[in-house]
Amino acid sequence: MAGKKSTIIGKAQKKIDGIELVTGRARFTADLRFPQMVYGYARRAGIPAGKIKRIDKEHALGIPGVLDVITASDLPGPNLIGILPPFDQPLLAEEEVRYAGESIALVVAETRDIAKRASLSIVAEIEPLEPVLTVDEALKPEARKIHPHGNITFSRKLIKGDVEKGFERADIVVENTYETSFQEHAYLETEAVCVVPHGDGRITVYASCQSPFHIRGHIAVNLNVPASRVKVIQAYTGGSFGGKDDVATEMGCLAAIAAIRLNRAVMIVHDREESIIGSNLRHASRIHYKTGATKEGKIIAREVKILLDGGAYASESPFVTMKTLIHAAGPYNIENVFVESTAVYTNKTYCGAFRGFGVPQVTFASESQMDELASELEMDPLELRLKNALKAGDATATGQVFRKSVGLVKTIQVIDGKRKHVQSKKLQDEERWLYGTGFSCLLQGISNGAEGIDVVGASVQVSQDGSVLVGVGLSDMGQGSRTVFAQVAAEVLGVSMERVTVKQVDTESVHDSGPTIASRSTTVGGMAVLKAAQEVKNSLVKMAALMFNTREEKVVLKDGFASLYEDDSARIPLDKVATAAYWNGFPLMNLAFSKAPDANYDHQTHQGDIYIAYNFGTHMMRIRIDRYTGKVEVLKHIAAHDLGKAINPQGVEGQVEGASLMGFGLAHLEEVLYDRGIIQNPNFADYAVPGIKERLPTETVIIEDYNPTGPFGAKGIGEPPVAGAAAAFANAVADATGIRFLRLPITREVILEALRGKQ
Amino acid sequence: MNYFFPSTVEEALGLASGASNPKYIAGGTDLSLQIRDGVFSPDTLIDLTCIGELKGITETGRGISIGAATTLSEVADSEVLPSTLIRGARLVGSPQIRSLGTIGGNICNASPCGDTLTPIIALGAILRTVSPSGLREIPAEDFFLGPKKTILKEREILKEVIIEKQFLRGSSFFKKIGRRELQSISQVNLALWLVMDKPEGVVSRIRVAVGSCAPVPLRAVKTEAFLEGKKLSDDAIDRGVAVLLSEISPVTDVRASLSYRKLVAGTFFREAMKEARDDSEA
Ligand SMILES: Cc1cc2nc3c(=O)[nH]c(=O)nc-3n(C[C@H](O)[C@H](O)[C@H](O)COP(=O)(O)OP(=O)(O)OC[C@H]3O[C@@H](n4cnc5c(N)ncnc54)[C@H](O)[C@@H]3O)c2cc1C
Repeated sequence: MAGKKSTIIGKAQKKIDGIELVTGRARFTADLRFPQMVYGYARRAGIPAGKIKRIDKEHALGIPGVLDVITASDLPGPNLIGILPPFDQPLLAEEEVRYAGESIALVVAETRDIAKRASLSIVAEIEPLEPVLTVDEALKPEARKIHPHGNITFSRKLIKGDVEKGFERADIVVENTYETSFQEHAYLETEAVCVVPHGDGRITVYASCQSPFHIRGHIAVNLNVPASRVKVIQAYTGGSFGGKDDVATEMGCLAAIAAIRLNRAVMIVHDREESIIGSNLRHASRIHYKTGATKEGKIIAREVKILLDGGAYASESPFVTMKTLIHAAGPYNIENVFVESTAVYTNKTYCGAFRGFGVPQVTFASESQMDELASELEMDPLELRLKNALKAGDATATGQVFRKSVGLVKTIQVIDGKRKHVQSKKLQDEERWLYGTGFSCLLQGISNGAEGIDVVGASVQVSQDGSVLVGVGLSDMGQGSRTVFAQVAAEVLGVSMERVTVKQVDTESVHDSGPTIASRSTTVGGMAVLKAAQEVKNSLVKMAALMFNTREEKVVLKDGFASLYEDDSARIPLDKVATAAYWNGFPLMNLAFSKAPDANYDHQTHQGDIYIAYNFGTHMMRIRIDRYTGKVEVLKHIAAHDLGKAINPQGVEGQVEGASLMGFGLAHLEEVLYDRGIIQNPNFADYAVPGIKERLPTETVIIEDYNPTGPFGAKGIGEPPVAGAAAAFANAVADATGIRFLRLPITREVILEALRGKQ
Repeated sequence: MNYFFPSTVEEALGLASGASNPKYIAGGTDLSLQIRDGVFSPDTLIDLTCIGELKGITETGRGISIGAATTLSEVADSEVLPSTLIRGARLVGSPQIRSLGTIGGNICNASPCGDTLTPIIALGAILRTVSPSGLREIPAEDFFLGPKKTILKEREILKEVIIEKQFLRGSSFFKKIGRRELQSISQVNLALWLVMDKPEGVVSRIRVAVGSCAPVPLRAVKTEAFLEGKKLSDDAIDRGVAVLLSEISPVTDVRASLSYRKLVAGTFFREAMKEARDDSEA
């Protein structure tokens, strides 16, 4: 069906929403206007820990233009949000403040400016508590408990084989401790929601978000209304990367409560500073690795202890903890693995989902270990990786065996084939420049896996004119999933891309499909579209067979026609077939589900089948470093990923380039700096995200090792390159300088100081 | 808030004296953020960008005059200005910021990391100001009193930046580093102006300024004195670097550490001196 002749699947497609996005016609949440709309602005705690004694609204309420000031005691519901158990996060802090960016009140006013100014005039008496600021402090037995259940958010172990025995047999053991810092999502569009109340008790929520159904659920609970009265529309979303989940529920609930109280539309849009201090970050980590190998370079034991600084609330810490656990062994076939991963509460901005979900942190550490081991063994770094690479039929760290679609070896070989050419090129001024090349291998699980349920519902509807309407409950935040869904439907129904429309996600017209995370849109969502489209295709084929007076097997849908296999020229336009199908009562719409197989998984040892597939990759980065300033230039970056099948190769390139750049930011530029619990650089002047000049010279290499669990063999690619690029960068710097850097980011400053220390 | 567009300096001064809490605004790329954050709450904004006499780069008998309201992109594209100033302007922010932002705004905002501040100090620029009490001429190096603090009195306008003929000779350099390549705030910047005595191969005049290391951009007078009259051997340059590092005392802050600032300032100075030497030999 996909066939070799497809003009849609595997062909570069423009994003179906590209034109409106680049011309500025797309309207983002903050662009929306409704009659009598008013603005909300949150007052933040300003100190990392304390007991709320009193919040005095009177002065703020007296400011002309101020309509309402809402504090925890005004909330109609349980004042609770959170993506996963333990649900521990309030909308507005009630008794205790747990991080400086935490909201303690919401001011609603006629203009955003008035609301903001008024929020600062609220008198908040907060009795400071000694903040718990580091993981080490939090874990001390005598530490103050940030939550009643203590300072450990979530902790698990993965046990495969017997590491002790493994290390006994090892000829060589390398061991080190690595750290990574907090990272901010830094999407161009900050968080925004707008809630419009209707006279009949229903409300409509427009949100820049990635999980509209989460928002609906939380609003229903916190407003104490049936979820069916809450409609959430995902507006065009200018990036999310995991960041517009918890915070979008917080803002959505607050705006909804204000909208009901005032019976007016309420808009809340974050400043950049709020976006950094008041919404989740990537977990900072400290990771201890010990790797044992034979002198031939076969890794036989790996022991990893991971501590994640999760900040003040749980958010998605439990999932991130599990992801680090499962991925810590790397994409290698290792008999004995022990991993312990623990997320810890501190009085800092909470951490949660962020593209890669813990995998970039462990991959940086794991791949540093691989290079350290290679150098102990005096072995080529790629050869060592090849020797240990997972292959089809091998058991992963969780003991899961994939018979198909384990394309790691091919990604290593491609890089190996290209490296000579890249490494031989040197530029002038050798004295000044230190050259280096870094490699990394990685894997990233696709789908929610045993961490949670993974179901996507998709609808496909064909109109009498033969055009196609697709609805999927997953959000496109820029990654291009709408385009992929359109391609899948177009391919199955034999129509051109222009004939397919993909719905904006709104909770009244698509099925709840869970959050848009875990690189699952193409794989799980695409599969649901495929199924639904096939059902509708069956109707059309049935109808066409009647019209041709032939058997169904003889009919094919292509190029907007139903035609006969044997004779292309015998064909009926699809609109005629669709109209006839309608009049004959054949269903032209279908809602289909794609559900990952139930995981067979032991949550004590973390052994069993967890994901429906893994994306595998190998990265190479060639850099040079100015030994006098620490400046790094990336001369070449090659990212080879096995993604099963590239449905839209252009979309794949976009994802690989974008995710790699985020990994580069994590490894070289970005760091959220705290001083006594207060973020010191909540702006893009001092928090350095990559700029246009940092765009990497990335060459994307697509390896297609057919994945039976994805549509047309596809696997996700949205997250994996983050880890690959970050780890390859660190290894390249080590190669160039001869110094192993154990902490990310490795900035110009860090490099220069280390070079100076070496002299 | 009132917003005025005067067309002459005199009119601007008049508007300012009539208001209780006025602020001049040029490109607004600094001021609008400061107003947003509540640093200033003026009741009157007086826009200087429609005043013809404050705009453009002109050659005069004295040298070159740059109107305070000249945009940074005009400075960056100039063919007559010394290269240190052109480079400094070119490395400010992004094209959007340079099209709006002005050299006068950069100077009057007096951020220690402002990228045209060290160039004008190295070029010995004279800043001409006007106020109801008359005209003043202030050497650039005396203009800055602290972060965001200048010698300007309330309601005084910076009119023009004058670079005298003597400083249009010789060669000049500007170096900057931030966390990333473009659109980044200086962690350190350095401007150098120098004239070589050709037949002798010695430094006849030199001025050096280092930015983003202290509350104000610093002129390195000891370094200048040390190198004046010296032949530019590698050794002399190295010793010059040592003098420079002893006379600047950088701070550690959220942008960079003291030691990194010193390392890079030393690198920049060494590099610029070597480039100057190569220039003069060419
Ligand atoms: C994103 C971004 C990036 C930036 N990057 C850089 C950078 O890399 N390097 C750098 O140096 N700066 C940078 N800046 C700061 C800023 O753009 C410059 O300082 C710019 O030159 C300011 O000029 P302006 O005309 O916009 O000043 P305005 O904001 O209009 O004014 C600044 C101050 O000067 C006063 N003022 C202006 N003109 C006069 C005058 N003629 N007489 C008396 N007072 C006057 C104003 O009252 C105000 O106090 C950046 C700013 C932004 C927003």
